[in-house]
Amino acid sequence: MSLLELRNVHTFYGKIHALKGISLRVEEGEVVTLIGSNGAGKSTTLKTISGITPAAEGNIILGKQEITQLKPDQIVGLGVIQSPEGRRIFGRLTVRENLEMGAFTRDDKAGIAQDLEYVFGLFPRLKERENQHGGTLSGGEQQMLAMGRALMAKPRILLLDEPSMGLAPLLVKSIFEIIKYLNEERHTTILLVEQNANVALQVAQRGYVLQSGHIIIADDAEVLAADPSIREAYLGGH
Amino acid sequence: MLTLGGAAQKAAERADFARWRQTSANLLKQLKLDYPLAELRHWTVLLLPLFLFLLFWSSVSQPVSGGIFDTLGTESGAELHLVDLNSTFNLTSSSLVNARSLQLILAFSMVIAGIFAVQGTRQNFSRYPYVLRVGLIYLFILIWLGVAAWRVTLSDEQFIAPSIDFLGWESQEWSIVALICIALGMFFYGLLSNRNPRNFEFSLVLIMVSGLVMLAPLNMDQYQTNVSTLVAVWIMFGLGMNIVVGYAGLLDLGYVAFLAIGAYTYAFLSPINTQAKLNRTELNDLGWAIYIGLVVVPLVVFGASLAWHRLGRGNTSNRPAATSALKRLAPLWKNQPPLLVTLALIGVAVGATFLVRAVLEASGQLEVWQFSPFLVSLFVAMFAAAFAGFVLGVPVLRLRGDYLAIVTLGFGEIISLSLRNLSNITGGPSGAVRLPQPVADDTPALTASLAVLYLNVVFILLIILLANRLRNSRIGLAWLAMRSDEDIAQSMGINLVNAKLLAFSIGAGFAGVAGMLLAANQPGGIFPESFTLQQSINVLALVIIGGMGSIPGVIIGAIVLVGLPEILRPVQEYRIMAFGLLLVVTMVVRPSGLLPTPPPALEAEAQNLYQSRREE
Repeated sequence: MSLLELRNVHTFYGKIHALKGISLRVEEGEVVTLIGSNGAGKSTTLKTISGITPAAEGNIILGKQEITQLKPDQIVGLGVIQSPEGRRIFGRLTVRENLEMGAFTRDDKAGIAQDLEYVFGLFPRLKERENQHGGTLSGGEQQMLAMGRALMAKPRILLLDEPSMGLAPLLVKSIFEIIKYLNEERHTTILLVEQNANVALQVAQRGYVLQSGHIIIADDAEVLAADPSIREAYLGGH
Repeated sequence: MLTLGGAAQKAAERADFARWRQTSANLLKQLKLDYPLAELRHWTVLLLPLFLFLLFWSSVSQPVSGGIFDTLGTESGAELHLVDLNSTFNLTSSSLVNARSLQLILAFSMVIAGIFAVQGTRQNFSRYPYVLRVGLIYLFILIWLGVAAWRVTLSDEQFIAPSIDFLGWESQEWSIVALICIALGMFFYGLLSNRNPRNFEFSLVLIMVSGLVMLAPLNMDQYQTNVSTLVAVWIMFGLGMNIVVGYAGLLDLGYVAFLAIGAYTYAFLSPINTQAKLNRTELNDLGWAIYIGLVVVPLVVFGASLAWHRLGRGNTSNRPAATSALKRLAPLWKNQPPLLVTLALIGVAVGATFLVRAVLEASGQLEVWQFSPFLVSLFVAMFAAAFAGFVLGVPVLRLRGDYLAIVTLGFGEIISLSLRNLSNITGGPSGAVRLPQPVADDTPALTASLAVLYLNVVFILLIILLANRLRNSRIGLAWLAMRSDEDIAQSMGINLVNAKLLAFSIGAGFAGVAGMLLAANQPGGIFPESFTLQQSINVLALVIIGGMGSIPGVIIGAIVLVGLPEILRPVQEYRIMAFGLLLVVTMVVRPSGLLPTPPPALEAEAQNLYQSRREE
């Protein structure tokens, strides 16, 4: 049984039909990537899962539970944690407060302290800047903070929205190493949305290709990476 | 002209201020003066409020007539008045700034200096021996208690509390009870605070400053008391606004509506308000019913629930992860003991209330005991305003920024227009007049005003305590996150609906209390002109000038924005202009407010930089 399953999900922005029947599933312990061009509906899919733009039609199922109609804060309480696009951290809160904010839904003080150490171990740079305002961090550090904050919520499934956006290639590499580490060593289930399909397909086991609200291809990551038409469209044609 | 300007510019370019500062710092270090100088500056900051207080206390503003000095006159007070401001500054009663304004400025400066002193305390003072630390704290407590006791027992006319003759005890006896309560509170505070040596200096300065603030009004005349009360009400109002705008980031341009609701609630429930057509007997029955329904029963229910929760009888083991701020408060009403126990407790409490009432009635106190309507209207005003905040909050939940501001502006206007036009309820443009002060009928005017001022101070302290707790709670964290970025706050699991409604209701509740106390010190009455857009903008400006989200900032903001214009009143038409100029200059020079919440990162960075420079 899948951890997360979307069945024929439709989402609207007012009159604009953004998702036109998305069906996908994520198994426990998997990294699944959604790739596609601008405006294909990648971020909308994540927002629909976390309830920020609720689905008009279709079902979203977490484990055995239907979460389509739940409020965003209830969905977060069930362990579906989104790390939003564009590294949107709390600029006026300190790094530590940002991380504590991530654990907002949690009750266990000991567990939170433990996870704080874990995140600081994962991103030593954040430990150095513990008492600095989030807004004063560099781009890469902000991305680390956004991911660390999502991890603080103890996710059952982590939704990562474009972690490589606007980062230098070296930083992209280290961010994806951490994603790989999270999946392989910590068995975190990740649904990864990326424009940089090249790197995404390297860490993911499976992938879906989105085009204007439809899923056009669904296959294993290696197959997708080798597919000439996909290489043509999303991997820069090499 | 041009050459002169050019020369000045060149001189400025050549002047290397940083190097000069460095050189002078080095020189001081060589002379081994850097440490004593820093120490001197530190102690000056700590002791400045005391100095200003002494200046205020020993100055005389009224040479012959008026106020408290008349009655003090030749008795014990005379030798205290060392500085005669009138002769020092050669002032006459027609001067633009007269002596009592100067005195008031001294008092306000004392409060501001007090804030800086409390903030300027250093953390680590463990190098002093324990006995000295404890001894000093208690010495301070004793000194200010002694001064208060001496001043309070001078004579009944100058006594701070309303001259009640309640349960056979007169003001003097009650004052002693009050002093004993304060002493006990201080004792336990002392016990708590000197356990933690890091807080030693902080405790000391806090006790000193709060003592000075509590003593200062005893030296004020009617005018000064009234201005201080106005400032106090605005501090409370600002603290409420600070929650809505400063913490939660919801721009509310109709905030004065809640002040109006608080004030008019007091007017409705006041026994001698002819406009509202409520006479005394009606009020007492209605008042007691409201008191029991809104105060006694909820308190018993909450109390029983909390006790049950703390005793571990309630269901605490398998509590699900709290997904909303409201659920965190659940022990307040869930986890009730068995229904019969709760009902029995409520019965006992209601019975006790009736017993108190019967005793009052039998001793003939009920008629003069006007604190009853005061307490009733306090709670009713708070709940009414909080409910209004909730009602406003519901339709604007989905709005942000400019749109939210426009809707709240409309809400404020609706209330303002209703006050003006619903003549049969509110008294219309002629206002709700002849409001009682919460004191016995035969209290002298100055004593009554002082009593209201003290009530204000007490409520400010309570609200500061509450606001501070809220800021550091989960709800406070949720508000800060919401202010930063609503979307992300939502994806962190914060229930935006609850967080917003709580911010609106709590902020409005504070404003309701402020409005009630505003009405309580306006025996002349309250009028719709006092509750217009101007006031909403003023309170917003106050919070912004003080520094968004900063509690000491609100106090300073209220003093500067409400106290100063009032003091400058003699300057007439120039005062608004000067005031506007002041606002512009403040915002240019200190864009994040006069006393913003300290930016931790920059502070730490600056300290690191300073350390590394020193090591070089």
